[in-house]
Amino acid sequence: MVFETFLIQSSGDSQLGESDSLLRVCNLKLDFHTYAGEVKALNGVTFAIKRGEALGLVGESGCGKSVTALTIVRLLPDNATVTDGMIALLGRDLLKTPDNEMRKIRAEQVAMVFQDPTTFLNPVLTIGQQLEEVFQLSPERDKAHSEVRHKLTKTSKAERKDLCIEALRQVKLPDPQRILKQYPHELSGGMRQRCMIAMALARNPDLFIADEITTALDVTIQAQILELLRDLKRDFHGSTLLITHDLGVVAKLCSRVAVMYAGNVVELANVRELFAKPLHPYTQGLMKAVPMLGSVGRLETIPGSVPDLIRPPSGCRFHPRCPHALEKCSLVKPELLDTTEGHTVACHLCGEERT
Amino acid sequence: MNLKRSSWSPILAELKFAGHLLVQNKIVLSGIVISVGVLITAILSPFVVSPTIATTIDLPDRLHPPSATHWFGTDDFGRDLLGMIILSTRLDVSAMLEIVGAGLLIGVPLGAFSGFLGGKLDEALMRITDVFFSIPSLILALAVAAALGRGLDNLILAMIVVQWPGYARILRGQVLVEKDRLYVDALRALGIGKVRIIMLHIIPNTIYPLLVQCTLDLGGVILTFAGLSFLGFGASALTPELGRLITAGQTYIFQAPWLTAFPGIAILIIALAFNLMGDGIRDVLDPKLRR
Amino acid sequence: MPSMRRRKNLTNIVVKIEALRKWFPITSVLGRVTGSVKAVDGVDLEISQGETFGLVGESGSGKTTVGRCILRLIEPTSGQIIYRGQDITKLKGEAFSKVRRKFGIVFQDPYASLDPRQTIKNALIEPMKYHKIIRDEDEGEKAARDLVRRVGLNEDHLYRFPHEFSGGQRQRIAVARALTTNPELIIFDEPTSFLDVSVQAQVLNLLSDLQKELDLTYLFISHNLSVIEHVSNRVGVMYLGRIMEAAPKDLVYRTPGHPYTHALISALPIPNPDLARERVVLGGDIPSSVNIPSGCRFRTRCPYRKEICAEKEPPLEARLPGQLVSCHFDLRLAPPIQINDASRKA
Repeated sequence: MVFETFLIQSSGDSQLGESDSLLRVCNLKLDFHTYAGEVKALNGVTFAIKRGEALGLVGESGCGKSVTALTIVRLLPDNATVTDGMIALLGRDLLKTPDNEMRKIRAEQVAMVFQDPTTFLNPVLTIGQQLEEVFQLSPERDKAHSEVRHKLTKTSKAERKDLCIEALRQVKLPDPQRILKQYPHELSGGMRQRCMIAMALARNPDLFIADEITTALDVTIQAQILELLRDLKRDFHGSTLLITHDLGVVAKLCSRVAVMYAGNVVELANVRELFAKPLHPYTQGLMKAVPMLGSVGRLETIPGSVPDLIRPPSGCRFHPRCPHALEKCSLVKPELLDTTEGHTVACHLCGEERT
Repeated sequence: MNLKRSSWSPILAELKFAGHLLVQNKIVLSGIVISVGVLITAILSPFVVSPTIATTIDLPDRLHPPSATHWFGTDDFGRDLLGMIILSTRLDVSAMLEIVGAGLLIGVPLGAFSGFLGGKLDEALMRITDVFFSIPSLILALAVAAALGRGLDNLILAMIVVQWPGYARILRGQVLVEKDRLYVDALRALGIGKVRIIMLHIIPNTIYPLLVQCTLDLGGVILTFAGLSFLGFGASALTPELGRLITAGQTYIFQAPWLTAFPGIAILIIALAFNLMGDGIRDVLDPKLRR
Repeated sequence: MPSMRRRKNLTNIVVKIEALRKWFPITSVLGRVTGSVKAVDGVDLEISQGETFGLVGESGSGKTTVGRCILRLIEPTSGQIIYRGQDITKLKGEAFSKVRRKFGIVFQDPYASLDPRQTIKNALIEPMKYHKIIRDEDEGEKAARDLVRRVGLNEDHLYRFPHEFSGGQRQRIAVARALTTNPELIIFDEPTSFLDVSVQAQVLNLLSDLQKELDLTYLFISHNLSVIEHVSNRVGVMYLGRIMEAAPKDLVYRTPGHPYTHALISALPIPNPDLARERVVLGGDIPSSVNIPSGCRFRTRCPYRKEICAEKEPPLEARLPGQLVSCHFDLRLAPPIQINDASRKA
């Protein structure tokens, strides 16, 4: 029932057919209950990730990109309520999955790495001890069928150690033997982030979610991690959801990009198209506002600021700041519609030109 | 995050939020109600009960048990016990507020300047307060009161002496954290002098936890004050004061138990009420319990 | 009210720093000094009237500490700070208070740099009253209104408290506050790092406008190379407490003289998927400021290192006109960075 409405509404992925997509998020709506009021954080988020592809989720603070990721893995705080929508991982609705199975999914199918490795690594355990936990049950791949089948067998301590060393080598950490014995505070930020990536990818998940993983790092270290991710893409056959506010990161690593604003996906396209011809006024504004090497003169700004999500604007949430807003824009929320092959926009202006 | 509401002082906003939480706990609420009741009694007492009954000796009426005319009975000098208790609240409550208030007036500036400026001043303050802490407060109060001699004012003074070091240390701790905050750097960068920064910025921003501690202290202080009065320090025999009333009633404890019971219960209720109120305030203002 | 000042002599040097060092001692549990964090380890730089000097570096570079030392929020361990020819390194009291007025600073964290219990009006009036720039409350209120308008806010914002404003607005307030003492030089310590891209653009435009209107000189500290390129006239690149390169912006970004600068610029992810660019990815991590490598401190990560780099620390010397580089070798002999013209948006 929900699938049908999804196909009619956000037809951006209808060309793909369901067997191609690993993850589909349909019309996801979520509220936070706070003392100040209901924060309508997600207002109908829709996108899909194909198998093996890297989707970038871009937006500024408060747009809901991290919240979306946390909803996928169901790690939301107590005051969050999903009010509508569906998240399908390989056809299975994650919102309706019971907690114990969700734990299994988090262990095997979806892995998430966050911005600050310091807070997400246990400071009193060595890297080895934490990495080992991931390998307590080792999956076996049945490569011949190009399908991932998990056969869980208990591994011995020696096997686990080998797997750990291999995992650290994969993320290009020098001297893995020594690092296994070290504690998180003894490593630098970049190294910690690599450990987190190693832990995430160790079980070869179907979906790897990276939430602003380079934002807290120095520029040169960020470059290292981006190179690493690019190299890992070759060997990693799962899909990636890369969350960031940095358009440069997206340009480097992603094949498709979803732009979010105030709880909605406003534009979805493959990366070349998005940079060459951004359709949504917000995307256009965002690109003009970023200082780029070689750009001169004043930066074009988007007037106003990000809206208060307790009392969000009616209709299209971007309309108060949009230079081309029509009357319709304050009344009716625009649907996510196809314009050209693979390029999807939620904007009344673009809707008129729909092919 | 542009709130359309008109400008709310952050203090008002916090108080409103705290208020909401406070009224939810029944026990705390009763503590607040009783405390407020005690304060009102203290303020209104000279109008409700004539102060002269303290000094009016009416011997035929002495040691009457509770009756219709004297709800709490009469004491050794024929004075209406209920009236005496009501009068006493004024003295006890005002002593309590004076002690805590003066403790704050002394402790806060000392703690703030010491914490902010550091160096020898800080060392000196730390050592002095260490001395005070090394002696149990009740005994110290006793010793100072004894040294100063009898009298109500001397007792209050003694207790102030015992009260301020704790406040100075608490505030100093807060100031040590606050002085590293970015807005303090901004003020220094603007060339604004240290004294001004401490008085107008640091103290208002750090005094909150101390005020909470003070509300907690109120109950204990009044208990100690009454206790020391009972022992003979402080007020003279005829002065309406709860501790004194118990002292006077001691002699007749078997013949006229109401003479010790009612003042004792009064002290208990007052101390408990302020304690509960202080507890509630502290719980509510604990940032971890918010939202 | 800060009046419009016209400066005639554009080659005046407003601030000069010589051999600035700031070492933070590390004490063991027992109180002995076991080492130092050499946050700033010998920095020389000059900032001229009306220019924006961009100071760029990663964590541990010491750029923030340099800013704070100029203002003497932190006292330098050694070296000199010279304001318009006057040595202000050790000034105290009244004389120093006068000099402090000539500097302003805007900090990184807009959520922490304002006293949360003070209205904006009071926050702006306070420094003016203290320095006797205004005589009474009325004058102060008028001045505050002017300032607030200048930074793009409304007059009724004066009566609000900091928590009612967004990050971008708070930074505007911070700028207004910096302007209250009629400064000549404003130090910006990562002013837009905590802001969203669109808000950053607004703030950067504001700063550029103000600089022209009021003839201000800026020291702009940031780790964001794109922003530095956008705002600066001259750029200084810092690494582990020293300046590796200082030159006019175009030289730094087109033909950098130092391998570190080269790596920094090529590390920037460009928002253009069609752009292929020669990339230098440095290996290893940034060393700790406690254990600075001997000789040239960059050698542990430098792709061009040779023996001499471990023995001798290269001095900051002139290469191309206006360009100072601290390196034993000439990077011009290495291949240049290609920035495809397709990436430029005029």
